[in-house]
Amino acid sequence: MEKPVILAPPQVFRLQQRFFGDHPVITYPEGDLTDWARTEGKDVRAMVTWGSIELPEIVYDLPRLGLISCPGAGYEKIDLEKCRARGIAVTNCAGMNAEDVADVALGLILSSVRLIAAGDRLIRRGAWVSMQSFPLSRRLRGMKLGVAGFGAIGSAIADRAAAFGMEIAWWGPRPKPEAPYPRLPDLHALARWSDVLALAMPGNAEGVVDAAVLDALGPEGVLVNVGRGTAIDEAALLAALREKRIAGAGLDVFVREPDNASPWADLENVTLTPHFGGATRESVTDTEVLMQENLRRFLAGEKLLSVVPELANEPYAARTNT
Amino acid sequence: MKVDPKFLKWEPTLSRPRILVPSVLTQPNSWLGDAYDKVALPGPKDDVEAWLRANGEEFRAAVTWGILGIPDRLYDLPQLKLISCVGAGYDAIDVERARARGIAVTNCSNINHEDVADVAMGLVISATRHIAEADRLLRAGGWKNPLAFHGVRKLGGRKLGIVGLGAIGLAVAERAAPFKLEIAWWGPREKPDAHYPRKDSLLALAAWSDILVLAMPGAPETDRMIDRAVLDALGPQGVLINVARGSVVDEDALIAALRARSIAGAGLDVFEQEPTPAARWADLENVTLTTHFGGATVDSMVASQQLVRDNLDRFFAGEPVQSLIPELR
Repeated sequence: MEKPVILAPPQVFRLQQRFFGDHPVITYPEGDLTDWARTEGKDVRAMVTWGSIELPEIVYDLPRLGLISCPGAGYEKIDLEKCRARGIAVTNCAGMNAEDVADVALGLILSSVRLIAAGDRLIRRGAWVSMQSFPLSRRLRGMKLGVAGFGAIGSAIADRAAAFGMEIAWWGPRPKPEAPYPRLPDLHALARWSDVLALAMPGNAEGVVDAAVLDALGPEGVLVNVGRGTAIDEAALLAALREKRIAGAGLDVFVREPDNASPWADLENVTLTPHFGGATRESVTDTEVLMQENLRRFLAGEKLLSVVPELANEPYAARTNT
Repeated sequence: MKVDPKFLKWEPTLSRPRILVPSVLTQPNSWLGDAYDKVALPGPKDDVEAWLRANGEEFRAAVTWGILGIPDRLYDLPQLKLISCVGAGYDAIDVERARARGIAVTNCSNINHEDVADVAMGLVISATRHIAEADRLLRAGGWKNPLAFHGVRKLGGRKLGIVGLGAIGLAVAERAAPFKLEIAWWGPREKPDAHYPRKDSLLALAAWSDILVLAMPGAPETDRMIDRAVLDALGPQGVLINVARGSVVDEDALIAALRARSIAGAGLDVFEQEPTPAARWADLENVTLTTHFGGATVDSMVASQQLVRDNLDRFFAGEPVQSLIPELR
């Protein structure tokens, strides 16, 4: 029997045989996929891709493609209507790493408010010369933390921050009666209320943190983003940081990744990390197990786990078992 | 708080009392204000006898930092009855000598313990999740694929050991709980009201811990308590966090362990020598360094300064001082 071909990004996970079994794996070619899709792409049955990466249209037309499998929680750049029309299933791995992302969010909050990464840089460049070398910072207890996006990550951030004595409120598009913290009417109101604004929104919230939201956060305010880089108008954020219209930022995600950090590199009041909030051994293993199981089920024509909610009711058997 | 009457034999006075202060506090705009005639303590290079001839011996109170103390000879000042330490520590104070001379020693404990615990947790996360290290990397133009951090362990379920379950240690434990870290501690005395299990010894705690947080006082009995044996017990997956005093760690042994990867990383707010020389840490990427600023918030500074001023006012008004150190209560 002919073996199904699986397409994966070159760096995704460990790309070992144990992940893909003995199925042939093609890794993404550099650059435009169009020519490639016309030739080798015709045999691809399943594809692994980051939900934050936009796929060229021709990928959706690959004749045998039946599964797009996203390793993270997000799938905002996958064209779900095309997938629906062509009978392509889309799965994600939500909730696998929410606590890990929340841990890094707290690390970035602490680093930004208590100047930890800045202190590390100061010592390493030999600038710690007296006990007066460093400014005093604010006390975390009593500071107001606004969490934008109150899913698994947002609520894990809130629970951690509460133990530091931070006052917590949140905003998200839908009310959540079970949430133990107050919901403010909109993002602007949340920013105005907050001393620290932590973003944990899915990727469809593009550009919502603009100059107006940053000005509402204000010159004492700190912005932390562990959601998606695209939530922020980065030009507005850079200007606000440079002009001290906000006090600082902690960023795990960027509009472009991998990012060239040079626009941020002269800003002392920023902590930068390479979108690694969810990348722990445990969460990667959990994600791999789920993706392997989905792949096995897909190839065996069985019901998939973790199909994205928008496509949860679509029938998929037709193209998976040829 | 009850104070031994021998500390209080001074009558209220109308003239502006002369007090000893570190030289930086002699400036007219210092937070100590103008209620007192402030005279700079002799520095380490000054001739104390000459200083005494110049300034006399009529001092009844001294304000200092616990890590600085006062020169030995000044314990003999015949009228000195109060040493007020700014900050929680009083490591450089000779407590026995103060007791023998009837000198009250006050500190500012329970003011900045939450601030120190916040930085301790910041260092825990930075050291285990590589935050400061990644920040340095990105600023140097690099971008490490998240998958290259694959060996990073989830914080939840790991074991956090706290050395010294005082105000700081307890505040660390409370903060660590929602991260689902398992918590244990060790200190020389049992604490029946502690909610966390106490290990039999420091070595047992280090062997049990994935993350060892140091929150004990600086004192002769804690000097270089974290030595090579403790670091070996912590092991190659272990991370050391120090928000206590640099003196509690054998720093050369720590640097050797970090270099040999016989421990995984460290987060250090305090050092053997402060400021610590940058060259000492230059090749150690797996360490987050901060400038002994754990307690340095505006809030704690204002509260500490207020407490020191209140104690001076009480002392010179003949009232009992607050926050005597435990040994003298």
